[in-house]
Amino acid sequence: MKADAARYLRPGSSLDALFGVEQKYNPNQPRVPAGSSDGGQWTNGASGSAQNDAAQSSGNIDLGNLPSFSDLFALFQIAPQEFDTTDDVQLAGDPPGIGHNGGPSLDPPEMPDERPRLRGDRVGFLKDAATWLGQVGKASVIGQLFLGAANNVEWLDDYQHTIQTYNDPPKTLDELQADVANPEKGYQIHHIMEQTAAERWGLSRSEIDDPSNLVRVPTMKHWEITGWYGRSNEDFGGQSPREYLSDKSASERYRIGLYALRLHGVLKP
Amino acid sequence: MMRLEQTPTQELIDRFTRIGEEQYQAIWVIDNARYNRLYREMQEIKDELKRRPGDERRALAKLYDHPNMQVRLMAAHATLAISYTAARQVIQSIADSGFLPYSADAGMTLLNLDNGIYKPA
Repeated sequence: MKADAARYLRPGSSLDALFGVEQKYNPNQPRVPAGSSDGGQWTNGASGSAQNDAAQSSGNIDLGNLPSFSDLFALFQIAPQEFDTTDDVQLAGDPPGIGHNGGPSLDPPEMPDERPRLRGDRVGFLKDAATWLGQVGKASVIGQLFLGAANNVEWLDDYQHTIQTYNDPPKTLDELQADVANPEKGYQIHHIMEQTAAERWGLSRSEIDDPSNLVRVPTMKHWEITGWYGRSNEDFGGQSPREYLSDKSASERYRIGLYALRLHGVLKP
Repeated sequence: MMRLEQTPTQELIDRFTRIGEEQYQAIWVIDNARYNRLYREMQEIKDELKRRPGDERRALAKLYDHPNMQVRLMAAHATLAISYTAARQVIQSIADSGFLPYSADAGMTLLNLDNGIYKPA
């Protein structure tokens, strides 16, 4: 958010009030641990600095206070980026970084007006945006303003639904399986038992694609779960879950697959 | 760079912390190649601390209050074999935070501790 964002509001109105609208209290939101100077304050889990201005007290706002849409576009700081031409190299500049430990700010994330060339930069923005929306509430005024601004950024056309579905509430297994018959933007079909590993294990295609093994999940949750399967993991002696499961039974793969869905907030406990 | 065996414990802890912070970012953008490289680097530091007289992994307990969630999580993993109850509490608090995907990692760890898949050493 631009430091001078308040200039987009009518005289006498408050940016704090705008951000306070429909602010949701989330008891599970991470706090800075006791013992640090910011102990107990809201955080995103990465940084020691409490960053959640939005978690402060609410105020009332009249929609008449809102500026024109073109001004809102500027409010969300949709900024041109300069791109490195080298693939797989971190862009120069000021990535959300180790300096303050990165991760999503609780201010609206800055929207690149061009599609970031590096996958990590794209994913980083989408995660920041989805997490921020989850914290302020998609239906809040500021959430709606953000989505409206995003709607005018061409490269985000393909990702609007991806951002919005990330915060879907968990569903039952029956619901997730039934949803497979209704493909929608922002969702992907996920194999509870990973399909590549299952193929390697000798399962037939029909077994892998059996309805009991398929669920429709939010796209970015799918990415996260797939990412979890591929990361070295202390729990499994340094192997990734995928490596650990490579010689395990189908029922063990299925069991772990359900846990992964549940822990990523897709499957109801 | 100084060989790990010659590096003072505090410096190893500082490196552990920096690697944990970078892991946080790699997980956030789902960059597994980067994460797995960082994981191996952190493993070498843990192994070196473990080799030292008195098992100096215990010094990582000071990171239980670190502001970065991934640093806290990895410090807890590294000390489970030494200080199980306190380390588990750290992992539990991360799981309870609901802050994905880190909370999912922590939640799975608790399950794997309970079902015996994960045996900290």
